[in-house]
Amino acid sequence: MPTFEIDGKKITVGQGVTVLEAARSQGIEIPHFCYHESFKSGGLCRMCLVEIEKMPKLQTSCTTVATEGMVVKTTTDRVKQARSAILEFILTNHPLDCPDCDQAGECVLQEYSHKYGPDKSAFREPKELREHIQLSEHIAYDPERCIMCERCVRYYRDVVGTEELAVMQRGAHSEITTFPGRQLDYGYIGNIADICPVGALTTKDFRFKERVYNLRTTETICPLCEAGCTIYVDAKKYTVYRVRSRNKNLTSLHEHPNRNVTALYPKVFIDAILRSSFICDDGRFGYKKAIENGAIPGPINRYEPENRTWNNVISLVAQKIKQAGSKVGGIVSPFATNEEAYAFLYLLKYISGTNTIGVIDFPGAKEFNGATKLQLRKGSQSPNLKGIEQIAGALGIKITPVEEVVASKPELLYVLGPTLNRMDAYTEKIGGIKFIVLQDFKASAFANNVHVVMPGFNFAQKDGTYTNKDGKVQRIRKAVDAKGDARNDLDILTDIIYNISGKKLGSFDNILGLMVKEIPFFNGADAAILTTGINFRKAAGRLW
Amino acid sequence: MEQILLKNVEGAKLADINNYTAVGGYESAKKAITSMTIAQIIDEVKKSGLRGRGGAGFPAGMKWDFVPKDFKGPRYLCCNADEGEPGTFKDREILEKNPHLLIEGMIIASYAIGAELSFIYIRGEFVKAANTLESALDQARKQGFLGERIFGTDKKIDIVVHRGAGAYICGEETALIESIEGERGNPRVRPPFPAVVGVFSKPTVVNNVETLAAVPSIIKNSGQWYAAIGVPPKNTGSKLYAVSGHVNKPGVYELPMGTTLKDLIYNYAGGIKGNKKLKGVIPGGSSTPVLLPEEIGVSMDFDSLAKAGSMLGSAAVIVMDEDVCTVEESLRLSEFYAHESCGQCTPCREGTVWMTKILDRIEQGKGEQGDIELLERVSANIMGNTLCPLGDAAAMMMLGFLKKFKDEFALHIKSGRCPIHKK
Repeated sequence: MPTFEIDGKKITVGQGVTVLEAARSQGIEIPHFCYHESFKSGGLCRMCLVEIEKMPKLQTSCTTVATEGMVVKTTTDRVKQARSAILEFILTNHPLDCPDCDQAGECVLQEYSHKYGPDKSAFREPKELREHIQLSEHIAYDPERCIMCERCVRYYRDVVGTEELAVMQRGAHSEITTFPGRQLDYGYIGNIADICPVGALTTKDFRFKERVYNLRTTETICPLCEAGCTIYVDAKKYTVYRVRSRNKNLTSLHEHPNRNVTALYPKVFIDAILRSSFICDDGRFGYKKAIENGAIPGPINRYEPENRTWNNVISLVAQKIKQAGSKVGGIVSPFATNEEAYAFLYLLKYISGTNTIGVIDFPGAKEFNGATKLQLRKGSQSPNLKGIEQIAGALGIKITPVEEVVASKPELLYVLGPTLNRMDAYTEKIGGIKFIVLQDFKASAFANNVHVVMPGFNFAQKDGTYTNKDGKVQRIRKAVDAKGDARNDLDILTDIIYNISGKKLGSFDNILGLMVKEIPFFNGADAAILTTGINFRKAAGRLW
Repeated sequence: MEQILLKNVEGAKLADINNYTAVGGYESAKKAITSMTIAQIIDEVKKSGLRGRGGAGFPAGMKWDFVPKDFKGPRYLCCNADEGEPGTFKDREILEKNPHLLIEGMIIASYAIGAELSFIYIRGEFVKAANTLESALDQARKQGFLGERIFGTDKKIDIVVHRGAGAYICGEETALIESIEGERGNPRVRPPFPAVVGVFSKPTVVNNVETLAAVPSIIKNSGQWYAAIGVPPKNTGSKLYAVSGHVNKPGVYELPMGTTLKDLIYNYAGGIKGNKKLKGVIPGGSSTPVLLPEEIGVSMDFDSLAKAGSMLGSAAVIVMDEDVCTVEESLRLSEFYAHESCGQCTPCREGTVWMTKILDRIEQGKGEQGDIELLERVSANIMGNTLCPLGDAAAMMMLGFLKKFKDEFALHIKSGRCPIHKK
């Protein structure tokens, strides 16, 4: 455990920790482009040069391992001069097309130029302009903006393992490219846009759509499979513009919204967070599936068409549930949050006395390419299947296939969505069921054939928790507002329960509190998961 | 001084192993393998004061000694025959005319560092030399000097020729290693140094052709004998000087280390062509700072040239007469570095191109006030901040020309044309 000095501060670090990493753990910023914690450092960009006593030349802090007694200085004139020089060099052939660049506002080069760069460039020669290249249908590469940090190349070498990108040409003509005639395989492409520190790699999904500084970033969980990857949703008012891995901000952990993260968690956990912070392309580009428009503008009541206010609908449903007694059939979507599932199962178990529930089946989440080292997809495309199983188990409710619930011809069938068209197959089979209630955010063939539709929220519109396949309970957060007269699914459920029984379950955090108390699986899901982005369970190591 | 490296090369056809053994060839290798310990060999080379002939002048014996003794598994010797420094053509002389001397030196060095397999990384353009080496290696294998059980012992040493593909940067030892591994020839970050993590991540020694070729004579005659040649104690032995440019007799001269530059140009190389005046001399390959006529009294050895503000480098002497435009000359060299920069690290990739663009403007008569200061600043910003020495080389060259010929640069800018070519 070497002890060394950095900017006058004595610190002790682990064996083999680099100067850059050590500085970062102390909140000392050393600017860098090519360094990234997920792959081997190359010492390429030279931005992280620092002065080390007894070494004549400045050293790249990303490749220099801290050793006993080392004295490092990061703020001397020499260091400042070198940083300014590197930025001046990078900008010589950079097009400076910030007004038209998607990265503007979250560009590391922009930030560093502002902070460490020279106030004007002495470069007067004509710039060499280059055309953008499509590396795949999803990713465009602008070589003129590229600073050759090779993060993307190393990502494909060290993380994905397929080595699909390489540097071609030499010197100032260098550019990143794929094998001639080939494009990047779909699967884990999008991450290179996140790790690119400049605007050289951009996704088609987001290219020229919106300025990043007009977007609000929300930390949430990808709902497209059971892995439950952590994501950022960037949105404005009603619209989600982009889904990103949480990787980018983690490149500077001390800049993470939860600033004391490094102090809170041991390095192994941070490493795990970083490793797990890449996401797959289905999650990145496929989020539209889970939030698609075609929203239902307000409650639909085909049973008593004149009564269409929320109050009418809720008391109708409450009355019908009371009448049906234990002959209520329940079907729940694995897109429902833990809290919604709990409220729904509470309704079935304690109010109706039903002991079974159908869970809508979503197909398995297949890996894209067996050759990749990075394999993130897990289980089915059901983000909260595990959570529902745990809650049902704790309440003594048996999970049965949806067919059985439908075939049992209950007096009343209550479907808690989002169904995402997976119930359409049962449209023919539900004839004969006297009263069918659906909570869903999106119109579907099934929705056209039920008695009452109560429009709910999609995953980006609500708060709650999901439990992933590994049993980590993670927080999803409201990123956008809902249009029209839709309501939060949890509020709909608790209103119905209140209407029938006078019992108030409360908001999602009250319910989470209830689950923590009552269900052993949720023990330890304390305030941490409600306040921090990185959810971490002290006791069992199960909660993230 | 009796020639060591180029002795008998004219006329004796030493590329044929029979001719080579007839003059005592492979005796040193045999002596080392059959009767000397590793420690004795390294000790002898250390005593000789032999310093690396590739440019940096690092003591060869010490380099060999850096290879971890307790390392289990293979270690490698690489002969750097990627002679690419502009103006340098000394190693080719050995490769084409005296290949067995190199092979013999490599056998001894391989034994000294415990390498069973060694590489000769040869410049791609050296087709003739590569063919000569291949057939020389075959001959040596047939004689039992290479391969299994060499010289009747249980030792195993073999050598492979690896041809480069034309990149100057592959002469940098870590880029050379990457290239041998089949990767793009990009320099690696140091540390770790090749002596610890080299070819295929194994301990590796990279030595220049001339360095290795000096080893047999040291083993034969003792380190003390070698150390007496040249300028002891730190600049010993013989040195190949490759003289090119405006001289009457350009060529490779093997002379004692420390021969003066003046002697070399006016005595050995026959003086300036057409009796013109000398304008400047680059003493050690294009990267080394240029010297003025009044400085040519300098002794051509590592330390004297360093003191004079330049470097011995590869001892490639480029002589320029009075008709040379130093702006054009530095432009040409700058273009070379910009072209050969691998592009990995920022200052070299961008800085060499920037430098070239400014020089091009000045030479075309479009120089502006402040361009000289700008060139100095760009060079200074490259210097010391790059991943490998290529950037430093470009900056050193540039700063050298600016220091010695500032007036000529200023005249270009002031008169708006090249005053020498009278465009």
